Amino acid sequence: MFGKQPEFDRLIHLLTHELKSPLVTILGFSAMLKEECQPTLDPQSATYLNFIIKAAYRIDAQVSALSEWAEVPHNINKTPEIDFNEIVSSACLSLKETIQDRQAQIVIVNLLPKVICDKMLMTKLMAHLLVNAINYTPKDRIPHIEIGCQPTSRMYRFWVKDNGIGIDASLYKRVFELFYRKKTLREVEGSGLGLSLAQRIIVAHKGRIYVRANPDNGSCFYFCLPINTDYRVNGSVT
Amino acid sequence: MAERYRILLVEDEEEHAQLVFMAFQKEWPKDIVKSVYSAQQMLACLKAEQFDLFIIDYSLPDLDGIQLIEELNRQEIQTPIIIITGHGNEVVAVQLMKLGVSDYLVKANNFPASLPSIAHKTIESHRLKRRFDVAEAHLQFQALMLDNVHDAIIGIDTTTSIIYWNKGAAKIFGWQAEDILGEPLHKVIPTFTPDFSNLQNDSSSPLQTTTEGFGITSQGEHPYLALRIRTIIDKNGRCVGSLIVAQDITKEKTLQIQTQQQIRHADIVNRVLSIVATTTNIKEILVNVSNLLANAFQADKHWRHASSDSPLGHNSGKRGTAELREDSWLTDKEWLNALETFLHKQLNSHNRSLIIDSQSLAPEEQRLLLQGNFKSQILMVLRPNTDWYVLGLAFNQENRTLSESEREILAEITYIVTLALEKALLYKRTEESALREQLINSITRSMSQSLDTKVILKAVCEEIYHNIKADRVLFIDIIQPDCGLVIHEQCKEQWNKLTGTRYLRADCNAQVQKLWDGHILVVDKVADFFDSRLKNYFLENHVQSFLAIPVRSDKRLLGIISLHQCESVRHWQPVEINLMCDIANHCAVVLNNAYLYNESRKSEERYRSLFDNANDAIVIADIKTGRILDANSMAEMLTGYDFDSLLTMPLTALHPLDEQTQYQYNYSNITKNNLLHLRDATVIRKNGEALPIELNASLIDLGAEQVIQALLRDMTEQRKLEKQLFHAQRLESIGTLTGGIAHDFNNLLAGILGYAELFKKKLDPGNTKLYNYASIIEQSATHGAQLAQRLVAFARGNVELKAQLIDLNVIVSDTLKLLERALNKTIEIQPSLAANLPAVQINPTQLQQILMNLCINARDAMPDGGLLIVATQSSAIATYRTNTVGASRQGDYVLLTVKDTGKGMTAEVASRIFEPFFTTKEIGKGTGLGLAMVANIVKEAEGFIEVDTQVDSGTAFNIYFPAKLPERALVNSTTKTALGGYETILVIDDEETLRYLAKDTLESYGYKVLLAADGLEAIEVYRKNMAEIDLVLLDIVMPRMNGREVLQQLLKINVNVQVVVASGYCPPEEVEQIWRHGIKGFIPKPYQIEDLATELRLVLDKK
Repeated sequence: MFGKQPEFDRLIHLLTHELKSPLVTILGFSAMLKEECQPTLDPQSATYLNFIIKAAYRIDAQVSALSEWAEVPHNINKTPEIDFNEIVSSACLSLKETIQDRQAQIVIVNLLPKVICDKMLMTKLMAHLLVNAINYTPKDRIPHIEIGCQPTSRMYRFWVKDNGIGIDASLYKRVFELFYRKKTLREVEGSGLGLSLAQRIIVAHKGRIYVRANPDNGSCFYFCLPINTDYRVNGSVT
Repeated sequence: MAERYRILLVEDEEEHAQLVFMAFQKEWPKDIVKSVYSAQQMLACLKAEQFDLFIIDYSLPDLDGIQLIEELNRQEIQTPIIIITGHGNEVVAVQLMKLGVSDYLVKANNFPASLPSIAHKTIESHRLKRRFDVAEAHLQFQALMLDNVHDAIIGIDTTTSIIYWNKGAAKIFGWQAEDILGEPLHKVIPTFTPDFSNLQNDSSSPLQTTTEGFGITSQGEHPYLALRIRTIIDKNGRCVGSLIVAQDITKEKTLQIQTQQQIRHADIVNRVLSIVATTTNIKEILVNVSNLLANAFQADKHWRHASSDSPLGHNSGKRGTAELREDSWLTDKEWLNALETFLHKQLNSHNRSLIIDSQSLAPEEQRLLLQGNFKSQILMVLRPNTDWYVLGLAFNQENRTLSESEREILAEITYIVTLALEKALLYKRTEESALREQLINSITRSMSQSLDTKVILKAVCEEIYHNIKADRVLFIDIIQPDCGLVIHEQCKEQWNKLTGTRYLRADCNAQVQKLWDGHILVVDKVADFFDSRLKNYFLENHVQSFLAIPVRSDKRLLGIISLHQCESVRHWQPVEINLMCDIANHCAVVLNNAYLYNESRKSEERYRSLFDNANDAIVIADIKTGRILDANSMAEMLTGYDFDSLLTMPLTALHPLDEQTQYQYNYSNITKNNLLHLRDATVIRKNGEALPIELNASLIDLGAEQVIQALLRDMTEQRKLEKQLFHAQRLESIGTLTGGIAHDFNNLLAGILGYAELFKKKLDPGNTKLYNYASIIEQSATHGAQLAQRLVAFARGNVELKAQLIDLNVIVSDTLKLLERALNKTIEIQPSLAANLPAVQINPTQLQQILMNLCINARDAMPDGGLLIVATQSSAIATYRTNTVGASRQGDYVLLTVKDTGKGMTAEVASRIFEPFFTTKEIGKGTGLGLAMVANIVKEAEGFIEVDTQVDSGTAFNIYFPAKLPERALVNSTTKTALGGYETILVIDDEETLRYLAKDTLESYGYKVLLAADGLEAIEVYRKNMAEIDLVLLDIVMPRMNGREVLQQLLKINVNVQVVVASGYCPPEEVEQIWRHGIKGFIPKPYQIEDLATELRLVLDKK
């Protein structure tokens, strides 16, 4: 619902921009403080300062994510066909470090089609899904992620399957809410915006995204994209 | 003589021919011989010329002599022929002579020399023979002439003795001349006696007469003769006898008789044909044919009879016709039954029409037929279809039998009459049904002329009355299931009227009750009616016969049509009954139609009234052409076009020009299952104004055609409301969301703020640089937190902030101190606060927000510096002010003015500044919420705002707050005493930063602090350390177990637990709820360390 409210986007936009300036100030001055009094600082003050810096960075991360979320357009205008394999490799490239850190295995089970989509947004989507998959896999497990696609009559149905902690059926819808974050894993970091952003990107492409899971065997995120995107916008015949 | 001869010589040898020529030339100098060389030449020559003699060489190149002569004979050429041959042969010669050759000459040395004389002889003898033949033939002819005439030539003398008898006579009469000569004439011609008496002395010229009569042959036959008699007169003029020429004309005569008979027959047949051609009335046909036959056959009596099951029998109800009554046997029922039995027997073996001749019947059957004095009877049994009719001819004459020709003619007549009867029957039926149809048509027509039931019933009764000729016709309406009421009647004047009579079903007998079940009731004779009560009722009303027909539609009884015959008893005919049934059926249809029509008219009227009085504009348009066909008055109002103009427009013309194609597409795609629903459609009014409408269009079937019905609802007001509602909803949803966002940010910012404070405490106060840095961090965090809070405040509508009576001046002064830091040095703040103001009722924070917002706006309006005046004063409003935000009332107000000397605003901008999200600031510099929030707060405080602005000269915001009793404000300013303590405090917060911040802060005040990261942990810690924990600081928004649940658990463990709730964002109703749960304190996040310390101290001290 909110994704369809330009005012809300604008509000978020304004908020993030307004917040950005005090944040920069805080970050700047806390850095200066640290620099100037590092040698003489008692350990407690150092902790205080670190708290400040850490909190500021977290706000900054959230603000950025929120701003990114608000900037996803509501409609994707005509775009060229993009090879989805390319999108997946771009996403993987952007997550190179995370993937290497966790030694994650990413397998594309079949050749992915060419899809009419916004390459940048779709790469973001894939990156979020992959990060999500990796983050929600316990650290003692090697993330194994499977990407696939199956065409139906009008849609391409993609999936990203992981071997993470899985998801409870009651949360199938909630995970896509803004700022929803599953806190089962303490160590998981994130803005709580990733899946909401993913949904927004898919909806902008006139597709849909959903998740199904087996709690033991991880989750599987499905997203469908129209094979022939119809960009007709005028008129609503019900 | 010889000179006239022409001789043809046929000779292939030229020398021989030459010789013959020469011989003839020697004899007859004239050239008389023509010569040819072959038979073919000769035959060709004969076609052109005639010859007296042929001289033919026997052996010719193409034919020999015999062949040639045979050919000549075949051609009947009788010219004499002399054959000449080189080699004589007797056999050939004989053969030739037999063939008629005159001479046969062998070519000897001198043969040509004798040829002329032989030729001459031959020609002459041939001529002679011809003359003799002719004379002989002549003689033979004369002798033959008398013998060979077919007529008999008989000579008689005056005693009528036969004196001459030719061969013709012998042939006709069978007598040879020798046997009859001398016999008297009457022996052979008895019908003629010549009378010579008066001829004796008289005329000298022969008398000739002609007559006809029968003769007698030797075999006793009677040839019919034509006689020509001529008297024979001798030289002295005396009659000596007669010559009778008799011609046998038996054949001619027979033919003539036959012809006459045929003519007679043809005449009868013609007359029969003319009878059947001129009428289709069965009775007429039978009477006329019967008369005709009686004449033609010279019958002494003729009668007719129709089978009892034939229409005639049925129709007349009598057996036989007038003639039948004359003879007693004809009216004898027994005899008629016997006749019918007999005829049935006959008809069974013959399924077709037949002729019965009494003479050919067995004696007992004859006896049946021969009644009265009649000796013979001939019956014609006519069998059209399955009926039968008898025509009887009775004769006094004995043995009157039918001749072959009579039988033939009767058969033919039977055939014709049968066909005619079949036709007549068919015609009769057709006519009946045509009549019935015509009648029904006429009735239906008059019934159908109206849809008013009264008129229909009147027409029905009238038509039945006139056409069925009943004395009284009633229509009984079924007013209740078991009760009928006579509602219409057509009645002869002399009979009493029955209109208004009620008939109860219960009053009727079973027979009549059946009417209710749809059965017809036919009563020919009321007098025979067994129910005496009903009989009396009918007879009282003079009803002698009656017929009642139920009128039913779909098994529902609509009424009963009742026909009364009062004058006489009436036998209701099946035709009439059928007709009445048909009429009743039609009547039911018409009544039903009328009913349906009235219903549909009512519904149409209802629809029309709905249509006309609808609050929505309704436009009906043709689906094919898109033309508007109808529109209600609302449509006129909505579009601004009058009705007539609308009818000239296509539906799409009501929409904006650039969208018409789209609308066209949308309209044309409407189907039964695909309605068009557009919430945001637009209508362009006649005056060009664009009107927001909601469009609902559907397809409606109007019988054959389909139309679009478009409902156009003016959405102007709705849109306004919706906008408001939408705004409200949006704010609510945004509130929820921003609440979430604010919560996150608030926690983090609170952490920063707190740590910055703690950090500052640790600093050497002399180190101003670092101290400043920390202050800046503190300020920024505050700013960020305010930003987030403003968002929440705006979204939530500030209701959680309780209003209280305050002194405006106090808040203004405090706020201005804060503002001095925020504003540029180039801006001079000029406070002008009136003393002894009445109190105003408002939440101090909100008042601060108002002031902050207005001052920040003023600052932004004066980028190059200027004067900011903040003034307070008392103000009495005497009259209602216009152009205010919030309503003005009469009364005392406290006026807060914030005035700048900045850019000012245009009127257009000024009119919109209080709209949410309206901002003139660059993207990222303003939220567009500030003034909207100001307006909300002022309205809530029942105040109002006036804006006085001019471009380039500045803006003044005058805010009027209702003046309350002039008590001194109760809220003191910001003096706080942060007090420390020694108690143990459990801090529950999921946010690590805040948790530790609280710990650090409180420890710095001397408290002992326990920590819990979530609810479960908190319960555990509390259980363990219950004895020492003096107070719990609880965050409300937490995962796993939220604050409220934790509170409940804690209260379960210890009813007296001291809980202070800290919350970044919490809806007011929830705060209220938490208070009710029994908390001891509430502190909003982000909190200043001192505020927290103060709040906790207060709670602890209360305890």
